Order: sequence, then C-alpha cells, then structure tokens
Amino acid sequence: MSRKAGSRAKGPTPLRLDGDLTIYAVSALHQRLLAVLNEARPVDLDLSEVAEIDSAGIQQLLLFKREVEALGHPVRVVAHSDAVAEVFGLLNLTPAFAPPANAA
Amino acid sequence: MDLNPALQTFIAECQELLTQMEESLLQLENDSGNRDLLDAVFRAAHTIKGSAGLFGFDPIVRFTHQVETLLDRLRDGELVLSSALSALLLRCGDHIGALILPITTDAPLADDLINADAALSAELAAIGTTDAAAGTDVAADLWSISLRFGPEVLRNGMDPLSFIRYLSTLGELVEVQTRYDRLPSFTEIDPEACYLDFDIRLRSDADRATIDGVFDFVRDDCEILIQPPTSHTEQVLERIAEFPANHTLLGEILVASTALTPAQLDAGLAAQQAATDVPGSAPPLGEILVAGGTVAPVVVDAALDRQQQLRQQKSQDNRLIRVDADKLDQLITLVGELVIAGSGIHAGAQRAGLSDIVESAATLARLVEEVRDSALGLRMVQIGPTFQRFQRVVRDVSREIGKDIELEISGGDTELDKTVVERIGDPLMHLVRNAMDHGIEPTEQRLAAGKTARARVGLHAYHDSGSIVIEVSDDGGGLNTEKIRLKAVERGLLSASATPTTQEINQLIFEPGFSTADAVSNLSGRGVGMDVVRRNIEALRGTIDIDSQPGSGTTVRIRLPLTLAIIDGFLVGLGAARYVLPLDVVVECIELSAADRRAVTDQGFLNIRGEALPVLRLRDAFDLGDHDCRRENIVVVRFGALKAGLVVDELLGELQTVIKPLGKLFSFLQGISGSTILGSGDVALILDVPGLIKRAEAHRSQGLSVA
Repeated sequence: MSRKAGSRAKGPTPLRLDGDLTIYAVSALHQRLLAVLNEARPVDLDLSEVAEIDSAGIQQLLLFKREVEALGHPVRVVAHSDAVAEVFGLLNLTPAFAPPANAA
Repeated sequence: MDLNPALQTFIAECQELLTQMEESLLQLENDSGNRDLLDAVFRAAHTIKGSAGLFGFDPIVRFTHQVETLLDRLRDGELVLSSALSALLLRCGDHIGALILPITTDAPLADDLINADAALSAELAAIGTTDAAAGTDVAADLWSISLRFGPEVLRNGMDPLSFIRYLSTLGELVEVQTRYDRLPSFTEIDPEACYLDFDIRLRSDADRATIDGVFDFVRDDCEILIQPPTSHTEQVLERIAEFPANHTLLGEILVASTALTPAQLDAGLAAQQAATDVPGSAPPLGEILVAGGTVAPVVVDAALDRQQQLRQQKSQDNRLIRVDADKLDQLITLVGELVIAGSGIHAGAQRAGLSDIVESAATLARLVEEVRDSALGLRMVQIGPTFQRFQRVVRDVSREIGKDIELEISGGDTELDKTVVERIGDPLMHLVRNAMDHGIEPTEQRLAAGKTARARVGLHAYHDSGSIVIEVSDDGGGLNTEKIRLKAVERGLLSASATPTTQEINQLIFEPGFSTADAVSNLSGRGVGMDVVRRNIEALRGTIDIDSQPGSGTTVRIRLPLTLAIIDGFLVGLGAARYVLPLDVVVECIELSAADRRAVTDQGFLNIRGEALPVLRLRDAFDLGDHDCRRENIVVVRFGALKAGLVVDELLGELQTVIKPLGKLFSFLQGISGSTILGSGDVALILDVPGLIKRAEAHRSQGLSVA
C-alpha cells in the first residue's frame, strides 16, 4: 500500500489505494485515510488496484468521503477495479462515488 | 356403489357447500354490497377446492380454482358483481356439482362435461381481462428487507455484503439503499465495528422461511425486518383461510401459512413470556408480533378470524354427527315394537288386576312415549332448505318465461319427517312451476288488472291439527272455473246437468283426465300432471286441495302427516273387530240415541248443535251386517275443513301404535290405510279418515237426493 500524495498546492490530492480493503487491514486503512483527511484538501481516489473490499473497507471510504466533504472538499473516485465496481453496484453506491462525467 | 365413507362425506359436504354458495349468490342479487355473503361464497368454493385436492380430483380443483380467483377479485373490489357475473357464478356452481357426480360412478368425465368445463373456463378467464392489467402496483410483489447490523458483526467474521450477495441469488435486487448515518466521526470510529444499515427491495418467489434463513447466522447481532410483498400477504391470507382444523393456536396458523418463521414465533412467545412476569399484563401474541413489525396487522387479523372460525367449526363438528338413515329406521322400528310390547304389559296387568304392575306399566309407557318422541325427532328435519332450493328455480324460470316473479318463503323452520321432506320436493317443484307458468299472468295483463308488475309465488309451511300444511300460492289470475267445468263435462268427469260448487270444480284438475297437453292449451289455469302430484302426496298419506279466487290468485294446500311410522291412535270396536283412528282427527265422541239412529239411517246426516254432520255407519261401510248391540257411538272426525261422524259399536280409548303398511294385495281396499298389532297380539286396521269423510259426504248427498 503506497501513497503518492502530490504536494502541488492546487488540485486534489491523489490517493491511490491497493491490495485488500478488508477487515484484516482496516486499521491501517483508517490511519492512512485519517492522515489525508487532516490535509483538508479535495481528494481523487484511485481504486483501480484494489483486489478486494468488504463492508469494513466500504465503511471507511464512506466515512472518509463524508468527513472530507464536511470540510468543504470534494472526494472523487477517478478509477476503480472490478472488485470495487461489483461492490458499489451491489450496494448501489456507484452514484455516490461516481467519477465526474468529464473525468473518465 | 362402494364408496369409502370419507368420499361420501366429501360428496355430501360439497353438495351442502354448493347449496350454500347458491343461496348466498341469490341473496347477493338483492344485496350486492353484502361482504359476508360474498365471503360465504368464497369460502364455499375454497373449501370445495381444498377437499377436492385432498382426494386428488384435479378437474374439480382446476375449475374451482378459477371460480375462486374470480371471487377473489370480487372481494378485492376489482370487479363488481353484475347480474351477468352472478348468473355465470351460478352456472359455475352447477358445473362443480356436475363434476362431483361422476365421482360416485368412478367414470371418466363425459365429453359434454369437458366441453362445458372448457366453455366456462374461457368465460371465467375473459372476465375483466381488459381492465386487469391496469393499476397493479409495481411494488406489490417486492419483499422489503431492512437490516441494521450490530457492531460485532464484522469481528465475528461476517460481512453484511455477503448477505446481500446471497439475497441477489434468490431473486432480483431491485433497490439497495446503504445507509451509514450511524457512522461516528473519524476519530471516534472503531474501524472493526459495523455501523451500516441497508434497506433492500427484493423481487423473489422464495418463501418467507428461505429469505429469513439467509440471516440465520447474524440473527443475534442484527436487527432484521422482513416485510413480505403484498402478493405474499395475499398468499399468506389464502393459506390462513385454508388452514386445516387440527391446530388452532395462533402461532401455529401463522407459521404454517409462512407468515412467521418458527424462530420468530419463539421470539414472540419469549417476549410474551417476559411480559407475563408482570402479573395480569400478558399481551396477546398477535399484538406483540404486530408491534415488533414481524407480521402485518392484516395477517394477524386474518389468522385470528380463522382461529375463531376453526374453533366454532370444531365445536360444530362435535355437535353434529352423520348417522346412517338405516340405523335410524331400525331404531324407530324397535321403538315401535317397544310401544306395542308396553301396551301388552299394561293390558295384561290390568286383566290380572295387578295394580302395582299397572302403575309400573304406566311409568314405562310414559318413558317409552318420550323415547318414541325423541326417536322420531331424530328423523325430523326443517323444510327450509327444501324451500330455499326454489329460490333458484323461481329465479331461473322467471327469466326464462320473461315474468318478474319473486318467491316468498315462510315457516322454513317447520319440521317434518326426512322421508317426507325428500319426497315432497318433486310435487312442490311441479306446483311452483305450474304457478309460474300458468298461474301468473303476463306482466301487461297484470298491470292492466291493476296489480304490481312483480308477481309473487309463496311457499309456506305450518303445523295444523297434527299435520303439516304446505301451501304453494300465487297472486295470479286464479283458475278459470267455467273452462274447467266444460272440460270436465267433455271428458265425462262431470254430468252436464250437475251443479258442483266452485271448490268441487277446482278439485277436478287433480283428476287424471286433466293431465294431457291438450287440456293445458285449452285451460288458462294449470293442469299439467296434477294427478301425478296428487298421487305422490297421497303416497305420503297426505291430501291436496286447491283454493282459487278469480283475479287474485290460487293456493294449493298440501296436508301431510307429521310422521310416517307411529301414531297416537283412538281404538274403536265393531263387534269383535278393532279399528284405529288417528287421534289427531278425533274431535269428540257422542252416544247415538235411538232417535238419532233413525235420522242417520234415513238422511245420512245428523243435526249436532245446529250443524249438519254427515254420518257414516262403519258397519254398513265395511259390510259387517247388523249386530244387535245395545247402543252405538259416533266419533266425530275432522280432516282439514271437513267433518264427519263415524258410527261404531264401542269406544276403547287411546293407544300408541305403529303403522304397518298393508301389502300390495290390499291396495284396493277403501277406507283402510294400514294395520297395526295391538298389545293383545290382535290385528287392528287403521282407518283412512279422509277417504271415509269423502264417503260420508257422498252418502249424505245420496241421502239428500233420495229425500
């Protein structure tokens, strides 16, 4: 799990998550997200390398999005893997995390 | 025919249900909004379907199911019971009856029956299809599942996602709403706890238990609310309605109808148990379940209704038993013998002068009399159901012949012997049809005569001096006396010079000569097969007479004995021979003085308190020759409106007696209707009072014409 946070002053912070976003790794995920949250900046989520995601992972993403947006910054999912797409589809979360139309 | 008893019960039950269904449908025609009646029709169809299913009579199940579907739509208010629909349902009832009949012969369905089945099915299927598609709620067939996961779910190794995935294999997930408003702030959250809620709409054919079973492993950590689709609620209601009678606990009904899973029931019962700890405050299970959102209130109501119904049915089942008619007959025959034996003891004790035995015999006689009455009571049935059958006849025939006729029924609770009830149906049918065909005038003619357009045919029953009277009346044009007279003269039933009373002329229509088609076309009144009707009634030891008021109607009065087997008799003696008169007909007994005796011999009648009483000497009537006895007595008998005096030697008092019919050899005997065996072992003949009264009347007219 690596983080390539850009330090450009403007533009959203890209956040690339990979591997398993499951209960077994949820504490680490929580810490990482907390760190990004504290930057209080817009975030572009790249989920294209996520191999597996479960309810615990979903919960973290939902919470992260809610908290960042509460600070007035948008959270966009710019890419997601099939595993993520499947879960978003199942839980009807695709609209909530939908990448903006122009950012395919 | 070797039907097993269960099958016989099934057939009898179906026929009863069909009768009920028909009655309710007919009542609905006048009271179309009556929900109870509609429910009764539905229940009847439903029960027939259920029972037929038990026996595997698929044609009945298939057809009845279609009827039921239609009825269900009526109950839902989707369709309105029009007269066309009601007529269709009546025909469907007939058809179900026709489908039941072949069971008795075990024959395959006849072709015409199959054709009728297809035709009716097509009609049923066509009903309201045009407007059926519209207005069905899309949400109606969706399960609504609401899940609120507890915090420990994830740590316990369960993932809410997998449940939703599994649900998606049971049907189509129409809508999933993930709610995460319970998520605490980022700093407070326990990442391994679960805070998610889901609202799910699922389209699925799975039953409640299957869907419920999905959550078996998280039940303890999770709040689960499952609401079945409306259509499922309907299914549940249907299952509740056909719940068999062997269990009557609410929970059992709900579980069996898949409204509730056993686990939910246990939870509900536990909650009830917990509440019981506070004395006197145990809420009913239904309330707990509704409050917990486990079951829809409408389902609980239906189950409670059904429970009530089953309990009633149970108690009713326990109150009523079906008994083989032969066994009853045997009992009554035995009681009859007992009556005779009892009188034997009484007579013997009296002869021997044993006063204490006489007393015992009297007690015995009283008890035997009570046994006799209750034994006879077993055979008594109300005539109401027989009358009700005519509702349908009147309805159908009046449409057929284009007259507006209503049937008025009274005295349906009058009881008479089952045999009589069974055999009175055909004659009544004849009389009712006659009244409608010939008695009631066409509508225009009625209006011209200042009558209401709607004609009335009445069926009335009541008790009168030991007989049952059944009247078939109409408010039609009455009999055309003159035409009947001319016809009678033409047929040689009446001499052209005779001057009979109107009453006598009217009675002529019961003569065989009038029962030809020719007579009908010439008579404005009735006449078809009236002689057959009279024969049938007389075979029941009854009589029939007719009252007609020109312009205002006709009443046919049938007088029947209460029972066919045992009578209270009055014993009289002629020399050594004994005769029995039914006690009901005896009015009084008078000693015949020498002066009176002359009057009787000369004139054939006697002046009793200013009234001319026709008198018949039984000695003359039975050709017993003259017997030099010191004195004679008159027994005054009455039958209907007629009275006569019968002259006998001795009056011997009352007795109970069993009627033994006379053999065919004696069928030509006049004035005798049967025989009986006395306590002494002697045979006594039972007098045919109506016949004797007629003879007395004839005798008197002869006497008058001679004088």
